[in-house]
Amino acid sequence: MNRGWSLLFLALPVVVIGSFAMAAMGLSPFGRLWLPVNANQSEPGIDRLVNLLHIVVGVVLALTGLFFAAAIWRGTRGGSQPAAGWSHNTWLEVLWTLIPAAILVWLSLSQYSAWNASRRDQPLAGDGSGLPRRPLIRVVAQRFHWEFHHAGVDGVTGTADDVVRLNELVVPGDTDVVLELITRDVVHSFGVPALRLKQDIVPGLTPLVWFRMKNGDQVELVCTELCGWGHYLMQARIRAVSAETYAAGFGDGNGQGAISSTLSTSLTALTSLTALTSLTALRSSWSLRLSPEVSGD
Amino acid sequence: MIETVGPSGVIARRRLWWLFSTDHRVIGCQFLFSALLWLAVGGLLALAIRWQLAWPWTEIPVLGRWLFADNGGQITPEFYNVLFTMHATVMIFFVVIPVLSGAFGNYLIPLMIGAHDMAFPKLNMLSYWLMWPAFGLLLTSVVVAPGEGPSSGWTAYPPLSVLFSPAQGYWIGSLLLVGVASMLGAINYITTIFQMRVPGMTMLRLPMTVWGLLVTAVLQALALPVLTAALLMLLADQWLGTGFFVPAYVLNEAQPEMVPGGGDPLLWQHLFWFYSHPAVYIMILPAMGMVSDMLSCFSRKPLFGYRPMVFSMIAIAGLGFVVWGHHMFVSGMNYLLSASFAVSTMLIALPSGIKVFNWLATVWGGRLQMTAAMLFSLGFVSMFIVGGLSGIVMASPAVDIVIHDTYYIVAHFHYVLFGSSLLAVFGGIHFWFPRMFGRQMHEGLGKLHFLLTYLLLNGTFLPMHWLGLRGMPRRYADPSIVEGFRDLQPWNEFITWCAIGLGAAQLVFFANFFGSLVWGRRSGLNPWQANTLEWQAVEPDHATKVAGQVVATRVWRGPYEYSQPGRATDFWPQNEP
Amino acid sequence: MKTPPYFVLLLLVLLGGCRPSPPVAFRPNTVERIKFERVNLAEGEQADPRYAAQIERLLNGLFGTPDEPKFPQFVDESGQVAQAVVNFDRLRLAAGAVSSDRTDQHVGLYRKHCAHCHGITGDGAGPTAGMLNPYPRDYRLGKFKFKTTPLRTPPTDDDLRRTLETGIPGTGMPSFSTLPDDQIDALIDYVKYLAIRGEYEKRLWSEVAGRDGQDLFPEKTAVSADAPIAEDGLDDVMFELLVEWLKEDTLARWENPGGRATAVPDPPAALDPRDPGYRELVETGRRLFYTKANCVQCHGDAGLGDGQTENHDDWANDWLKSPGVQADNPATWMPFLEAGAMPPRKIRPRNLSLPVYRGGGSPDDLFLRMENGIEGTPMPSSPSLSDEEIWALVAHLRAMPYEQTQASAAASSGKQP
Repeated sequence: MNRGWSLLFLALPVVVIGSFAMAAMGLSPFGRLWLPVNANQSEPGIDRLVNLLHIVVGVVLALTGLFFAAAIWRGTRGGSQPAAGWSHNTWLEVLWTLIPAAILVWLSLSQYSAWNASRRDQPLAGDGSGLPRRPLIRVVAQRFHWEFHHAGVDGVTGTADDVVRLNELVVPGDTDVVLELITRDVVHSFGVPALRLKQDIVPGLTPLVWFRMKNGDQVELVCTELCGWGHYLMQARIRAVSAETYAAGFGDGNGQGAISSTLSTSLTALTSLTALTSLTALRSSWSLRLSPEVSGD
Repeated sequence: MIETVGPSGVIARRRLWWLFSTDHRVIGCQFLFSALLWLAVGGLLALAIRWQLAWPWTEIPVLGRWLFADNGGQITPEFYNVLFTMHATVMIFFVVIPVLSGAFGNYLIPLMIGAHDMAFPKLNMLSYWLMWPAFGLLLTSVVVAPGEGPSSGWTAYPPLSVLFSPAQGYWIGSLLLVGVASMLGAINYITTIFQMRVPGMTMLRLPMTVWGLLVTAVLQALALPVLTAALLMLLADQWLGTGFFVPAYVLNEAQPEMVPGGGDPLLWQHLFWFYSHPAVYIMILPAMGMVSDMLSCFSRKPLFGYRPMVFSMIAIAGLGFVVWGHHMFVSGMNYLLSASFAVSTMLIALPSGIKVFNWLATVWGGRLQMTAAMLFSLGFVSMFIVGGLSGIVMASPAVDIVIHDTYYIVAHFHYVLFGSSLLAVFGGIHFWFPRMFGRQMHEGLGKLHFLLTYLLLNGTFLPMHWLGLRGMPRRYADPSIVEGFRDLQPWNEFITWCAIGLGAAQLVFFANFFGSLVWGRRSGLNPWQANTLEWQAVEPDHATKVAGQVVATRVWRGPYEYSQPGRATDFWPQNEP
Repeated sequence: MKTPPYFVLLLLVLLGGCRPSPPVAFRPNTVERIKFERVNLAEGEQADPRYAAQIERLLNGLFGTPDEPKFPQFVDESGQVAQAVVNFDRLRLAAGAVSSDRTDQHVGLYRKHCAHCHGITGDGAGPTAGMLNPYPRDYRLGKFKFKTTPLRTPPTDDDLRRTLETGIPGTGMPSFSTLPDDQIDALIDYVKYLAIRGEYEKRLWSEVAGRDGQDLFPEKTAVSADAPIAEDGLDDVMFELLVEWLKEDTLARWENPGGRATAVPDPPAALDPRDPGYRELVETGRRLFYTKANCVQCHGDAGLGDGQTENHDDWANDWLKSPGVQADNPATWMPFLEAGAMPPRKIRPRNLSLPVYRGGGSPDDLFLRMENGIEGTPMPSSPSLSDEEIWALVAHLRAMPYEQTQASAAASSGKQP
C-alpha cells in the first residue's frame, strides 16, 4: 500500500512534462495553450528563449522527479533493513552545486540578446544617419481607453495634425514602428501577446516599444497592469495597413527620421507639454478653491 | 537529567489564561486557530474569484445574493478587484506568515532550543493581539463603503491606490499593524534563539525548523521597516496630500483637490518589493525547515548535508534582498538594471536547488514511514520543485515580457505558496498536533486530505501556466470579454471545478483537526520517536493535558542522529548522553 | 460560460443557510413621487400609495420585468404593425440574467456589461455608480449627450452605437468595440427600451398631478398586482388613453430621430494644418472664442475649463429645482438621496487644453457639439454662429492642446494670490 504513494509522486513529473509538451505542440482539447501565434516580424527571440528555458527546466524536473519517486519506492519496500546512517557526501555536493551553477550562469547570459533586442536596440532611422528612429505614434493610456496619436504629415507626434484614434492603432505594415507610451492617470501596461510586447506605462516615464507587423495583420492590445474597475475592458486593436493606405489616412509613415538632437529636445518638450497643461489645469483648480473670484472672468 | 518546570500550572488557575496568556505555547495555539479561521475566509474569497472567472457575471452563491441582491446577484467589476485584493492580503498577511512564524515559531522555538519561554513574553502576547485589530481594520476597509473596498491589489500600486479608493487607508492601517506584530515577533525570536539556548545547543546543532524561523525573523526585522515606512508614506499621500508617490500631472477629475504631485510611482514599487520579495522567503523558509525535520524523522535517517542546508538558507535570505527588481522587469526602469536583477534571480535558484537535492538525498536510502505528515512533506518537495523551476523560467526578463502579469505568474506563486508552504503547514500540524494537544490526528483522514489536496491543487494551478503563456492577464474580472481569450473559457471552468473540489477537500482537514481535538487517539510523549527537544518531556502537563515544558540541562549532539549504528533504537534524542 | 452548476449552488445554499434571492425588479422612480408631493401636496403629506401601485402595474403590464421584457406594439388601421422603435428579439438578448447556451448564444448582455454602473432600471445608480465622476447616465430622462440630432431630440441608433463602440474618453464609459454587431444592436435597443420606459414613468407621475385624488385608471375588479394587464379589468377607455399617451407622446419622440439629424457641411480646406489659410482660420477661431461665441465664459480664458463652474447638469437639476431643495444645502437633499438620487456634483466645463473630447475629437464631432450644444448640460446650441465661424472655432479648438501655453499659463498663475 505504501509503495503506491511513489506512483503518485512519479505521476507528477510525467503529467507536468507531458501536458506541457502537448501544449507546446498544439495538442489541446480546447484552445491554443502556448504562446499565441507570433505577429511580430522583428520578434527579439523570446519564443526561442521560452522554449529553451522550458526544455531545460523540463529536463531538471524529469531527473529530480524520477529520482524522488525512486527514492520513495526504495524507502517503502518494507523488510527489516535499517535506514542508512550517512549524512553527507562531499563530492556529490560539490557536483550538484557546480553543475546547476554553470547552467544558471549560462542561462542568464544566453537570455541577454533577446532582452537587448526588445529594450535596447531601437530600430534605426531610414535616413542612414545611424540614429534611432523617431516614434511614429504616441500611445496615451487613460482609464479605460487607449488613445493613439498618429504623427500625421509632419511625422512628429504631439502636434495639431496628429490623427487621433480611440482604441484602434493603425500602423504601416512591413516596416519598423516605434511607439512612445504615456499615461494620463494611473499605471497602465501596453500588453500585446501576439507581438511579444509588454511595457508598463508609469506616470512620468515615456517608454518606447517597437515592432514590425505584416501588412494586413490584426492583433489585440490589452491592459496588463491593474488600473481600476474597468481594467478588463481596456482593450484595443492594432491593425497593419499598407504604406499607401497609412499615408493616405495618417500621414507619411515612411518619413521616419532620426531623433536628432534638436528633435529629441522637442520630443522632451512635447512629452512634458501634457504634463504642463495638466499641471496648469490643476493649479487653476487649486486657485479656484483659494480665490473664488478668479472664476468670474 | 530532565525536569519539567515552567509557568503552566500557574496559568491554569487564571480564568482568562487562554485569552491573555504570555505562555508561548498558548500564543502559538492562538495564532494557529486564528490562522485556520482566516484560511477559511481567504479560501472562500478564492472560490468567489474562481466562480466569477468561470461563469462571469452569474449570481455568485451566498455572496452575490447577500451583497448584490438589487443587481441580480452578480458582483461588480470593482468588487471583483476587492475580492482578489482581500484574498491576497488575507492569505499572505493573515494565514501564511502568522501560521508559520506566529504559530509554529512561537510554539516550537523555546521548546526546540530548551528555553523556558520567549525572551519577551509580553511582546509576544502583544504581537498576537495586534492581529485582531489589524483584521478588524481590514474588515472595516471592505464595509466602510459597500462594494468599494481596497481594490488596487495587494501590491497597491500608486497612483491607483492613492487616488481612487478611500478604503485603501484602512487597508494600509491593517498592514501597518500586521507589520508591527511581525516585527515584535521577529525581535523576540532573534533574541530568544541567540540568548536562551540550553548549554551544548550550538548554532550548528539547531534543528532546521529553528534555523528557518531564525532566518525568517532576520528577514522580517530588516525588510519590514521599509514596508512600514512606505505604507506610512502612502497613507500620507492619501490622507495628508503629500506627494511621495503621485506624480504632478496625474489627472484626477474625481478628486482634483486631493492630487498632491511631484512624486514617483516607481519609488513605491521599489520600496514595496524590497519588502515583498523577502516576504516570499518569509513565507517559505520556515516551511523548508519544518519539512527538513519531518523528512529526516520519517526517513529514520540523518538529514543529508546539514551545513549546506543551513548555509543555503542564509544564502537565500541574503540573495533575497537583491532580487526584488524582477517584479519590475517591464515597469520601465533602466533595462540594464533588469539585466543585473536577472542574474541575481537566476542565482537564487542555486541555494534552492541545493536544498531540493539535499531533501532527495535525505529520502534516498531511508526507511520511510508514510504518515500523513510525511506525505505532506514529500508533497512540499515535489510542489517546490515545480514552483521553483517555473521561477527560473520567469527570471529571464525577456521571457517575463510575455508572462508578466499573466496567469503564469499566478500559477507559479500558488505552486510555491499553496503547493509548498501550505502543504508544509498541514504536515506540520499533523506532526506537532500530539505535542500541542496530547492527541493524534486521524491518519486515514489525513492521507485522504493529502491525496485530494495534491491532485486538485495540480488540477487548479497547472492549467494556469498555459493560460498565462497564451497571455491571459491576471486581475481581469472577465477575461472572456477579450476575443483572443474566449476559447480559454473551458479551461477556466475546469480550473474552477478543481478549485471547488480543493475547497471541499479542506473540509476533511477541518473535520479531522477539530474532531481529533476531542476524539483523537491519545499519543505518548514522543509518538514519532523524534530527536528534537520538544518531544523529550517526561510527564504530561496537567493544565493543558499535553506534555509539559521541558528544560534539558544539556544537549550533546545535533537533532538528526537517526539510525546510528550500535544503538538499540533508531533515534537518539539530543539531550540523551 | 455555460450554465453554472446549480447543484453546487444548492450545496452552498444549504451550507450558507440562505433563502433564494428575490426576482430582480425595476426600481420605481421614487424621486418623481417626491417631486410630485413637493409640488402638489401640503408639506409632510404623502402621495396616495395607490398611484405608485397603479403606475407600477401599468409599467409592468406594458414593459414587463427585467427578466421578461415586453414592448407595446401598435397596429395601424390597415392591420400593419407600426414602425417598431425597439426590436423585441434584440430586447430578449439584452434582458435577463447573464448566461449563454452551448451554441454560445449570449443573453443578459445588459446586466453583463452595463447594469453595474447604469443599474438594472437604467437609473444610473448601479452599485459602481457612486465612485464614478461623471455619474453613469440615468436613461429615464431620455436625454443623451453625444448625438447628431438637435437638442430635445432622442439620439439615432448610430449615435448610441458610436458611444458603445468608442466609449466616452475621460469618463468611466469604456469601449465595447470588441462585441459582435448583433450584441451591440441588442444593447442599443435595450437602452432605448429603458429610456422610453423611464420617460413614460415620469409622464405618468405628471399625469397624477391632474387627477386631483382620482384613480389613475378605475379598477373594475380586484386583481393581484402582477396580473397581466389584459386580465386586470382596466377601464377600456382609460387604458386606451394611457396607451395613447405612450404612443403619441413618448414613443413618437423616438420614432425616426435619424430624419432630424443635423447634416455636417463640408469643412473648409483651411482646416488642414498644411493649408496656407490654416493659421488665419485658427486666429479667427481664437477671436470668436473670446468674443461672439463667448466660449470663454465657461471654458475660461485659457480654455482650462475654469470659467463658470457652479452649474449642475439636467440630471441633478431634475430634482434640485424642486420646492424646498436648496442646491447649496445638502440637508435639503436628503429625501431625494434616500429615494435613490445621486448626490449632485457641479459640472465642470471641458478642459480644452487637453485633446480629450468625450463626444469624439474629429472635426465633424466638434462641429456638432458646437452647432447643437450638448443635451442636459449648460453647453448651448449656437444658432447665431454661421457654419464658417463654427469651423474656425473647430480649427482653434484642435490647435489649443498643442500650442505653447506657457504664456497663458504664466498669465493664469500670475493672477493667483
